[in-house]
Amino acid sequence: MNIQSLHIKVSLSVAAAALFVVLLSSQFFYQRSYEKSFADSERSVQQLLETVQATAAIAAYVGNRELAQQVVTGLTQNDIVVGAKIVANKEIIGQHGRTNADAKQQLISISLNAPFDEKEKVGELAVVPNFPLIALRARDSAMATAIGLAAQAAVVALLVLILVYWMMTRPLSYLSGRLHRITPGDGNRLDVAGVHRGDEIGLLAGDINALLHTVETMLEEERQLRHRVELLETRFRGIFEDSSAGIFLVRERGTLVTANPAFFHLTGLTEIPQSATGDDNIIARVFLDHEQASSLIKLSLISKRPHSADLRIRTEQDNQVRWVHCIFSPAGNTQQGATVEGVMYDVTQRKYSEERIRELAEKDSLTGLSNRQAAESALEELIQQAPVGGKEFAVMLIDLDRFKTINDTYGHDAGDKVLVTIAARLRKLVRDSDVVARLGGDEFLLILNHAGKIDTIKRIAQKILDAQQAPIEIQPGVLEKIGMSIGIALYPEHGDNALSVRKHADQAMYIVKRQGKNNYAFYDPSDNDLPLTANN
Amino acid sequence: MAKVIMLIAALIFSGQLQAEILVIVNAQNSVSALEKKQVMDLFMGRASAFPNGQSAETLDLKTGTPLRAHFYKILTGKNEAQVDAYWATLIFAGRMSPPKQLVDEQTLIAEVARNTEAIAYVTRQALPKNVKIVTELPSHE
Repeated sequence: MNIQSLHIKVSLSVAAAALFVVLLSSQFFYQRSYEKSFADSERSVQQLLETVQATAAIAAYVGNRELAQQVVTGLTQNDIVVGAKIVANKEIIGQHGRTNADAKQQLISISLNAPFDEKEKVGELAVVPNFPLIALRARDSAMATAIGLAAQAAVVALLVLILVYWMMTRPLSYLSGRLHRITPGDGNRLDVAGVHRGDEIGLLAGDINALLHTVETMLEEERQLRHRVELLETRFRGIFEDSSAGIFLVRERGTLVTANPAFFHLTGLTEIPQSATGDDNIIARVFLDHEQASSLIKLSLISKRPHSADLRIRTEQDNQVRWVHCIFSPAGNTQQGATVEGVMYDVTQRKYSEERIRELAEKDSLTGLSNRQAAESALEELIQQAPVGGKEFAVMLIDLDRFKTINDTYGHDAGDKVLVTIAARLRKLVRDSDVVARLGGDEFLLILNHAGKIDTIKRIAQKILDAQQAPIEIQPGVLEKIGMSIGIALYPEHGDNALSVRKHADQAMYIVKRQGKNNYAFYDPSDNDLPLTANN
Repeated sequence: MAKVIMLIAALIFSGQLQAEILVIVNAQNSVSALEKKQVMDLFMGRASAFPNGQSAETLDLKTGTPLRAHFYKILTGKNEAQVDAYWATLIFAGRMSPPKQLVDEQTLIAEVARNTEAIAYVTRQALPKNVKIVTELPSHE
């Protein structure tokens, strides 16, 4: 459409301009031509008069009516004169045709002088010009001029139009049409006629071709880039989709952006369409320790570094607690706010084996109490956590009386049974937070965490001793009462470190043993005479 | 060409001979004197009567006479050919006739002496008594 309209526009513009010029110039030239033609006619009349002036002067001089009549008759033979008269001595001596009165027109007149005396005026020759005819002729002449001019202008306009069409509009339309059919990338180029090789149209075509070339190069680069990106994306998507680790992207407030299948597999959530993720806080739904998870997310956003932790997740199929190691890394900002990428993988198995290993390392396999190492490290830990002047606690060292005898008499199974029973009793008698450990053989250690007052400790010690009054069926039908010696040392009163507290508890216990067993004693600094190694 | 030479010769000849031109009328004519213009009007056909109303008859010399050319030259400022053309125009129109032409001055004088309406021109000379001068035209304008 536009190809057509350009030509129409040019045509209309040229036509309008030509019409305007023609109108204006015709108007002007018509006026001028008319005036000139009119003046010419008037001059013709004047000249006509001058031609007959001499004869008319003679006629007027001698008052010869015949001559005068001849002159005026002759004058009226001209079609630009409709009437003529000669006046001599205030008397009309010759008249022909119309008078000025009935023609109602201006007269054109010349004075007649005596033939032999230029100074003497003898009469006047006057004519009535044929003004309508003169005007008509002037109009005809002017019209002819104007029409000729208009025709000229029209021809020039037509020529201009043809030339413009031929030299500009047509090549432009051609270029435009060609360009319209070219799709960047199809390798086509504009060709231009030899005539336009040096001019603006040639330049335009050249520039368009250069542009096409550039666009094609860019398109090709873009295509290759896209291909590479697609390849990368496929790989990354593969990694993302096939990863055994759950990968997910959440916003700061815990709403899910996207996640891979492993994530849904791990969490047991059903895959939810992107749009439905909405404001659902996925963190709260997934993690049992969701407060910790949320704080990790905030931490990673604030520090701009990854943060990780082992966290427990809810699983909806079975009620077994599953552990995942989860790494939160800041993943940049989107329009909806900061996002965090999370990677989680199942560490449940590892967690459980770790727990078992720890249990193995810390528990006494026979009694299920803490073993020596666990007890010692618990004591160390307690002292480190409670500086001097802070928390108080008591350490009880217990040794069974007559254990060796029972062991030797009834065998190891009987000894084990005694140990297991005593262990159960001890565990039952103290709080869960208190440490109950078997140090080895028949030696037990109790750490009473919250017992700072002597009376309370005494009551507990007495309760422990009282409990031993119940006999233990060491073999079917064989009941034995087992007594015990309890040495008690207080922290920080009887020692400010683990070693000294234990040593003093040991001393106190040794004193009980020496004084008759089945009793308890607090450490007394005055009993320092005994060698520390005596009990070991 | 011949005419021009003749004219020049005539002018040279007439130097002394035609020193003055006399305009004469019959002695019985009541007109005593005429202005040059009145003479011209009579001879050029404008007036057909003397100023007093008495009709006049102009007498002329034959075409080609040196005096004639001289007379008209002094009177109208035109040469003989122009004067003849003037008359030709009027004759063609009709009803007008130029002055009657006579062969020589003596014939003119005789006619004026005979005709009381006549008016003619001659060179300065002795004139009969029944002829009187009404105008003397200077030889030079």
